[in-house]
Amino acid sequence: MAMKTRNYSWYGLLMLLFVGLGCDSTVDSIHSDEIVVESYLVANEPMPPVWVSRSIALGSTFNPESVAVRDASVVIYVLNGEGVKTQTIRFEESGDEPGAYRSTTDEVVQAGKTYRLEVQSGLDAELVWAETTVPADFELIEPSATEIAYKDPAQFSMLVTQSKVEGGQSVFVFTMESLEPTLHNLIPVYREFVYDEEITDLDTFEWSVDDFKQLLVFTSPPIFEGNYEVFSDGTLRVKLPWFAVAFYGPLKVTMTILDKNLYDFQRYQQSQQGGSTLSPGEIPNVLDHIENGRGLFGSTSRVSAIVQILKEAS
Amino acid sequence: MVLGVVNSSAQSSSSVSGFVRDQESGETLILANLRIKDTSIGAATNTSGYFTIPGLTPGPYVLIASYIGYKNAEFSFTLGREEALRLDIELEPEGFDVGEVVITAESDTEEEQRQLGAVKMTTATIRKLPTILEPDVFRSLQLLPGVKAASDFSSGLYIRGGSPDQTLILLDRTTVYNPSHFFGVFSTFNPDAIKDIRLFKGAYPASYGGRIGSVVDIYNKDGNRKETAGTFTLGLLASRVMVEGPHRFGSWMLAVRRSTVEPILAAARSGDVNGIPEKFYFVDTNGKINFDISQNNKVSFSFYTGKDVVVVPIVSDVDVQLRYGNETFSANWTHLFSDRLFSNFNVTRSHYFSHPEFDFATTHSAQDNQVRDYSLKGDIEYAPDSRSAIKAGFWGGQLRFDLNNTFDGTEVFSLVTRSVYANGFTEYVFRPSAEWTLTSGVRASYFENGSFFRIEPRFSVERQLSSRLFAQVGAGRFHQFLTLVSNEAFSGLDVWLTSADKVPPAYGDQLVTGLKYKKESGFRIEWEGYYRTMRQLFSLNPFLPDIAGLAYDEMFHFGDGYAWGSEIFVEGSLGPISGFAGYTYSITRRRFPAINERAYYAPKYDRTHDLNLTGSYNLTKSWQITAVFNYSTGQAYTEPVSQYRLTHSPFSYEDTSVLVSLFNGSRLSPYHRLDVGATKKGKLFGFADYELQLQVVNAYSRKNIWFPFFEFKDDGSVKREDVTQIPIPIPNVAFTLNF
Repeated sequence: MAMKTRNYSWYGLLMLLFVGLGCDSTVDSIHSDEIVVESYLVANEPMPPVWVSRSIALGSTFNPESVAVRDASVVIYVLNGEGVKTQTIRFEESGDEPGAYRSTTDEVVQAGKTYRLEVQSGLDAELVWAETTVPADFELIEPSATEIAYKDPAQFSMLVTQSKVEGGQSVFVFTMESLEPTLHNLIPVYREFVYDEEITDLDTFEWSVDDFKQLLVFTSPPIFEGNYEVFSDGTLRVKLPWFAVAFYGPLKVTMTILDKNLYDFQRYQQSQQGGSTLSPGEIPNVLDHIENGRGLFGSTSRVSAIVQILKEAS
Repeated sequence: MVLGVVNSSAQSSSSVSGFVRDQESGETLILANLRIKDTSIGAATNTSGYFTIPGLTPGPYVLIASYIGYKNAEFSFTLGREEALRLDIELEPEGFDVGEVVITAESDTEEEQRQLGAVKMTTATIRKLPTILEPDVFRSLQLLPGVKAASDFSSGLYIRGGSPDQTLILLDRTTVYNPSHFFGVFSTFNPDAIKDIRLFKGAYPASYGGRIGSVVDIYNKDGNRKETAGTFTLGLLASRVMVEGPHRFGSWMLAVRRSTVEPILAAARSGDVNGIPEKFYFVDTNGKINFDISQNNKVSFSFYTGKDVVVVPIVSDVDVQLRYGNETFSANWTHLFSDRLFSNFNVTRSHYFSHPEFDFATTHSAQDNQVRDYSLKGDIEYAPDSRSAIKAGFWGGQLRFDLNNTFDGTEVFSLVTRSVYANGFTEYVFRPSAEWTLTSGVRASYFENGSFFRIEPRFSVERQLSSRLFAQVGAGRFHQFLTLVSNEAFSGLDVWLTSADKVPPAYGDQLVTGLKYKKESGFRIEWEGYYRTMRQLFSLNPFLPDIAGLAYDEMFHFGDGYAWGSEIFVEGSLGPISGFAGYTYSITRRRFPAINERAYYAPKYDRTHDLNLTGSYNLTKSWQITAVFNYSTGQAYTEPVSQYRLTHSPFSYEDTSVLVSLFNGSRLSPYHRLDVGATKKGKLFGFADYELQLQVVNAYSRKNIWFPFFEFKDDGSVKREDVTQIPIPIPNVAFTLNF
């Protein structure tokens, strides 16, 4: 079949458009120091310090003293429902801890109140600020036991009142802190994880607390209130899963309700370590709610109980 | 049933039609090419192996039938007035020593090959390519331009900027929801059990739907209609056996494959190494039985069942178990109402399950995750005259997704989603002249969950610029009502979720254009460019630590994206070497509110440049060597620039360490890898054909980086550790016996 000759230059142009548009597009980001603030307000407890430091380049070595920010102006304001500042709480730098600023007055953090932190680190520096609303109070009505054998099917539990949270459900974390962290108290399954060998004689084995420091305070990931059944009287019972217990002996169990800042910080920071549906190597920035800086200005409401973990019957 | 270029009168009423089969096995051949000699009148067989050439004037004809890997055949006949000649054709396979084409097309399979974005790959090619331990359908597809892999460890298909869930995977017209073994390392499809693989990379026809990206259409073998035969392969990772044969009314096929790594694991366990799985295997079975009830009625039943099982005791008192797999079943009825009216009806069932369990002390947590999909499907194809063809069909069914999480004896999350879905389509192909082909189609979709009704127009134009040069443009809109919760590194926990009230379906538009040139010698060069949008993408929010108590729409984050690219594909022979090469230049971007401050970013699988070279060389009549080389731009990743530490957290004894970075703003070093293989074919003791394969993957020990990991050290420094992909040469030996 005879075909007519035609001008195909338009098609060549179209191909060029798709083929030749450049090389890999990457953006180099460069480190610049940013102010980092850190403070954790706890309902009904004294106003905590505010720590002020700077971020450093990835290749630098972190040293708490060298990153501490001195001579900053640190103020926390109490805001009313309209966001108007109704009270000023001033902070002064601590003499014995660089970068730590403590309240100049005896203040107690109030549940339900909104606090605004402002940090001015120099005349030319941008004002770093953040706000947090302290979660409402809740109460521990009763722990199920003061002592319990490890793996007891009854499990240790706490009956607590429900915390009212506007516009959503409460977010908890559970913190288990061993009050007598020794090798003898380290539960065998964790002992296997830490030492990767069978220890035949605990009395002669050389150990230090640093060997298992990551287990001294064991914190769950954020857990929604929706995991628990709320009883008709507004209470809910929270069971302690045995996998979260790493030591025999006295254990301080703390149930904490997080504000939005802490919740967001924790979930994003944990996703930096992998495990989410992000691909390996994809590291998101933390959602920290700090304006003109980094860090965490969060608040909590919490209850605690101490329970003695006994060795299970052989 | 694809119409060829026709230059006979539209009023002509004679026709020739029939099935095309393999002469040795009776297997129907999909996309075989039929052409009336010395004309451009022709057609290709459809997915049932059926063709029709209508609109012929009375008189003598010679029909040439051709198919990749088969000898051309000619058939002479004379058509009377208004005669509908039934001509069932059998083609003779070519032998090994006549110089195999490494991949896909021979020039005569032109009709479907020319379809925009469409590629066909044969199982012979898949078995021959060097592979990581086991021949794999998806890994072979990853060699084509526009198709990328996430890593050496993933068989997931990332096609033209789309994530794996944007590709519809069909096995005998049944949707497969998790096509992976070993948590994503291999795909589920046993190359011994399947016939051909068709891939539509984009702008796919209206007869398909439900994904905004692409389609992989796979068919089980029908089975040998002439004699009982089989093949047995002993491999390093897995062994497989396939048996097929005739029965009184048709044919049957049964294929079983099972991994065989248990002896290696047992040896490792005896070495007192922790974390060695107590159980670790996959097994799958494909089967099909056909009944040729009459010349115009065929019924077949096919199934697939496969599962992966792993049980790992981490330490005493802690163990992890996972069982996941798929089951599919389809019943198919092919009916010819007349030589010009072809129909096909299916009943399908697909079941995907995943059951991870974790025991630590007495704390037991588990997930029960299931997808059940029951559907009814029908397609008709009608060729009213020589210039036009009409296709229409429906696909409706019910989906049920179950997701239940229990923790420490308490059900903490339960989600049951049921949704009826219904789709209808029509497609009209019109050839006003020998040079032009216009295809228009429309697809309508209804999804009960959320009551969504969507219309998807499709359109394409082909212009024959010379006898060997074709230009094409196609466009369409595509919708997707499902999303996959998965991780690139591990597919065994995949969860599917659906659109719903406040969770609208994703949609996208695609524009594809192509220019294709082929020579009689088989040399082929093709270029395709594409641009596509991805809107209303919905996926599980990756920053949710928990989903209990959330409203359904609160589980998601919503974003968008786009992709464009340019692909070149060359296939042919250079002296004694035959093979193909593919190059892709592409850009892919995504945008979600909680990532990268809502700016567009390159997902990890974005590769600007991607080059694949595949070649084979016949050393002797019995020895053939094959090599595959890939070079591509390094993957996007996040290189942190800053760090800070919070030193007073009440939730940890240790510092809380934080990285600050531009999300995926950096590139790993370029990826490249060479795989080589040699195949020896011969007769064992003079009665059975055998094939010995010796292969090495990553022949020159390239240490391609998979991702970097940043570890905060106690001394205040941050140490970067690069996790590599396959770091050393991996040998593979397989021995196959055909009987």
